[in-house]
Amino acid sequence: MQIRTREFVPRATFALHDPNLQRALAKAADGFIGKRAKAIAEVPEFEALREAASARKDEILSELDLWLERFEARVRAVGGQVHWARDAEEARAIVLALCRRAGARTVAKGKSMVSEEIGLNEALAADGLEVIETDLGEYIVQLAKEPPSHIIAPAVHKTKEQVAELFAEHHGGPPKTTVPELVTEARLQLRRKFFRTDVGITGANFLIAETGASVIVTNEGNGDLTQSLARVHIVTAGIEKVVPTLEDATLFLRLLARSATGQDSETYTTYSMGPRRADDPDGPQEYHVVLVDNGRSRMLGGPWRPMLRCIRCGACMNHCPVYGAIGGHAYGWVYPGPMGSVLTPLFVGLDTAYDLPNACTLNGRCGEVCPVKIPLPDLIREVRHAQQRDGLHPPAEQRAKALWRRAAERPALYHGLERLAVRLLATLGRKGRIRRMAGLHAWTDARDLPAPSGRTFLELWHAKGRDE
Amino acid sequence: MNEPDPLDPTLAARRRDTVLGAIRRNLGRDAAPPAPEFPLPPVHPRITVPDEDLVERWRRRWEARGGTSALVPTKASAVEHLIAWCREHDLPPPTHAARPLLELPWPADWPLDPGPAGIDTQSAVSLAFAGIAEVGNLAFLSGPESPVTHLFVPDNHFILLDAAAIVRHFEDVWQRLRQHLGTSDADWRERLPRTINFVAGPSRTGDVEQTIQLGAHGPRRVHVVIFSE
Repeated sequence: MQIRTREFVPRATFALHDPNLQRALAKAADGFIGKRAKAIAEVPEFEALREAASARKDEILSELDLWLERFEARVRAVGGQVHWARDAEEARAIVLALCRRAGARTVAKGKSMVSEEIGLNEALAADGLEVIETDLGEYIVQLAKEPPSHIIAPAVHKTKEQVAELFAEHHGGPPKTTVPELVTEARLQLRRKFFRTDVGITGANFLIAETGASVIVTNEGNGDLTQSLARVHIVTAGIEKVVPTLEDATLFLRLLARSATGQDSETYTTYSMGPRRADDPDGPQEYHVVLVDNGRSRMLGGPWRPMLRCIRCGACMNHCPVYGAIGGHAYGWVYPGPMGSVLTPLFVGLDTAYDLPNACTLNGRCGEVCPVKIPLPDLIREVRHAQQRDGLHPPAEQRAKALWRRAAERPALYHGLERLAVRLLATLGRKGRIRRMAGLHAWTDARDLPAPSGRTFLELWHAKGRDE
Repeated sequence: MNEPDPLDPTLAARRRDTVLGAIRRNLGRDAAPPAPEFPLPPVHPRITVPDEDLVERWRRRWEARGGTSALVPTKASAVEHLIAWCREHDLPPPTHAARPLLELPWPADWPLDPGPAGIDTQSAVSLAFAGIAEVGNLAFLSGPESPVTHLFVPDNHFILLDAAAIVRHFEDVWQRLRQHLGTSDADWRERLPRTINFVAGPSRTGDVEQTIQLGAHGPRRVHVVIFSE
């Protein structure tokens, strides 16, 4: 997928002025937050589950090599193959070679964020393969030639009318007006494609070392038709997805659906272990798992390791006021919102994705809702520190900070400037608010600045001391 | 055309060593830590399932997600129930069934095929491996007698579930699975099916304006008949 993180500011500005997007985002945020809250209220053990999941994931990550080797051995034992890819290019080459070897012409895809990360669709299409996204949201953005804007609801930025127009353009016939009509239309279109697909590619929510299983959860059943009707099933997964046992997968699944969609489980949870058995009447003849590193092993070593706990539920972005205002496309790459503000700079470069962590308000909601307790606000701050160390902050900001530091090191000067500033600001206030301020339009256009009382905290403190 | 073949075993082994090496380097050691083959399943927190009737709880949660269910006295009497159900709801009779169900007293004009479902398959009958009361869903094992396509292709899916197969937690399913597959002289993992499928009602999507719509790709209607023997 093309990296457009440098366009964060213009894309965010554009998003803020797109009425369709604003309508869609407002609706989505209400839905996601309310449904999750309701699901969690029913489970008094939720906090205990978060604790256990976070600790367990750390344990697994500290023995990641061991569990990956065990996983590989079990996949072989059930008749499948594991392929290791150091980076995106190798992962694409492996999948492409598997498709070629199978003589494939049509590839059906279930939802997989890793496949977006490695730019798989573009590579397959460039090789002349027909690639069909089968998750309804992914199918919609594929028709629109757009990337997904949310990791679990890829078309969350589209209104019903926009979907209807897209379908009419691609399927023919008059635009449909209701959601049931649209879903039925997509079902019938995709049904025909499932039955003539050669290769089915899915992601994996988890890999299980004990059984060699890849686990996917879906509500639509698309991932299951994808893998059951194709001749070859290819799984693309990050190396951090492995867990030791079935019981471990259960622990994380109890958190995943509740955090993502507010369901107690998704409609379908499927454990796939190898190709069809000798007497099986259906299922794929080949089973391949492509394990993608692409920078993950490096993350194990530094302060970023907790980020590898992520189970891709999307709760952080659903609760992020910045994501809620600008949507996923503004972030310019695969992973949006708070998790993306940490992951994207680590994947594509601290400079290339400079704006992402700096757009964060550090309100802390993402960290509070994360089911595996990733300290997202701390990590976002850590990315900013790393950017500062690399001298990436803009010159104007660096000069301003240097100036501030010089003042702050001289208390008398600092307090003098402060006294001046609060008196000046107080004169601008009406009823305690500053509604408009020269040079700060970007801020005051959208909200009021609270006006100070006219005296600094220290002045008030000393006055209070005298009174008592 | 002289590009190296990405599937070449030597290259593949080198890639594997590089990735594992990078992991170990970043974890600060040279080799994988020694550990027992598979430690006992870890005990994680569970979700409390109150001490109530599991069948009742299972049905309540199943039906809350858009599935339907009925209780019948015996496995054979499920047939009569399904005939009435199809008539009452104007549904096409099943054309496909899991092999173990073929022995039931089906009507002569319901010829049931144990083979995989095809693009025109409207309706199939399956036998569940377990029901889980915790969330109200079903577990299936794929195999020669139970095609996996029966679960996802038809519009209408009928499922027979033994009341005794309803367990409290997911962990109970794993335990049952290990017992079911294991033999005195073989590891349970030698007999793993290709898939273990959990199903929690009809297929659904919320991808258009977060409006929940049933029947996205899989069955629109899923009806469970619970029998006791």
